[in-house]
Amino acid sequence: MALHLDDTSLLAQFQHPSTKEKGYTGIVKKYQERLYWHIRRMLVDHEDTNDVLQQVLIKIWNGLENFREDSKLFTWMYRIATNETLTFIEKQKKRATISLDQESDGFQDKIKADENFNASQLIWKLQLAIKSLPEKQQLVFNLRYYDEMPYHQMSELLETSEGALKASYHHAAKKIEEFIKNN
Amino acid sequence: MYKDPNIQEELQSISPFWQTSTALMPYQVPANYFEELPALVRAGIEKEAVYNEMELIAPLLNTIPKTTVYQKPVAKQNAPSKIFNIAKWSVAAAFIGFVAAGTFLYNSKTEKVDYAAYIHVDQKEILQNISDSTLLSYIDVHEKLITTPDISTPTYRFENSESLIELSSDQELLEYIETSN
Repeated sequence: MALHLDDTSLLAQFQHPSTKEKGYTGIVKKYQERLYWHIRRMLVDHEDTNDVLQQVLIKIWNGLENFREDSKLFTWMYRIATNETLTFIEKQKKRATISLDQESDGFQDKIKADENFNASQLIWKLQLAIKSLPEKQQLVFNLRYYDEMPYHQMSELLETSEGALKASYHHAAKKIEEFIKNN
Repeated sequence: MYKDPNIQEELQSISPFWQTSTALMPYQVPANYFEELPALVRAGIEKEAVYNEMELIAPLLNTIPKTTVYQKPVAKQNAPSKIFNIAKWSVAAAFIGFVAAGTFLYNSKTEKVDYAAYIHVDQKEILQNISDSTLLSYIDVHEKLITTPDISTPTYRFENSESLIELSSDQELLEYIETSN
């Protein structure tokens, strides 16, 4: 596993013109995988994830000069990724409405279309169950379950109270359990 | 990023169902994707910088697609077939040569005549072997040809123009003079 500099050092590199690109590349390399999976869990498809992630990283490049350390770098990057992902989903929904595709939002179909999909495996059932939740609930569940993010950080990221996030997570876990038991 | 160590305990408090769960993702990522991503992002940043620069200079140009209107010449695709053409012509020439040689050999074979056999034919012996009746029937058929005078042979000869004048009548000479004037 590659060793990464701490955020403060990477930001200091970015602020200096001669090491700006080095600092940015360091930030990308440090966080790209976590951002990728954060987006991929929501979008399922790799190509869509790649498009959104590249947009996110370009936005980070453009916004990093004005970044003030009143929030943590990772939380700030996660927020950009979350907003870009939700915007992408909204666009897809509008497109599906125009094409009168009212059957589903298509994510469960995308999961089933994966070459490794196995309906009998719990790991795949879990993905189908998560995609049956509303988007915000999916986000809360993914951030807590997969990223193991503390509630106070999630609260900062999603601008929601910790209590509301705990309740949302509880509901999500119950719904997923029910989905898996019935399918 | 700080990770909460109480995730599993929390889930089990919600339901024992989560006791066996593992936070593994079943999706695959293309090989070397994360190694190549920083370069892709750098290229994307440059592309956006070029676009933003043009927005300030001449925004109209950003509305025109950058696809090239030119096309590569198609002739390049035919280049390898030169060898094929040479081979094709070689085969055709060889075939024509074969046919010509075959025809020549065939013709020269059929036209081979044994002239020596004709030279040494004993005509008297042949005539003796032919019966009288055969000879008579031959004479009957060719009698006319034998008795008819040879039309290719002139009945008279002109030694010179003087003899021709001598042979012509006065009337004929007068007619000749009239027509030639």
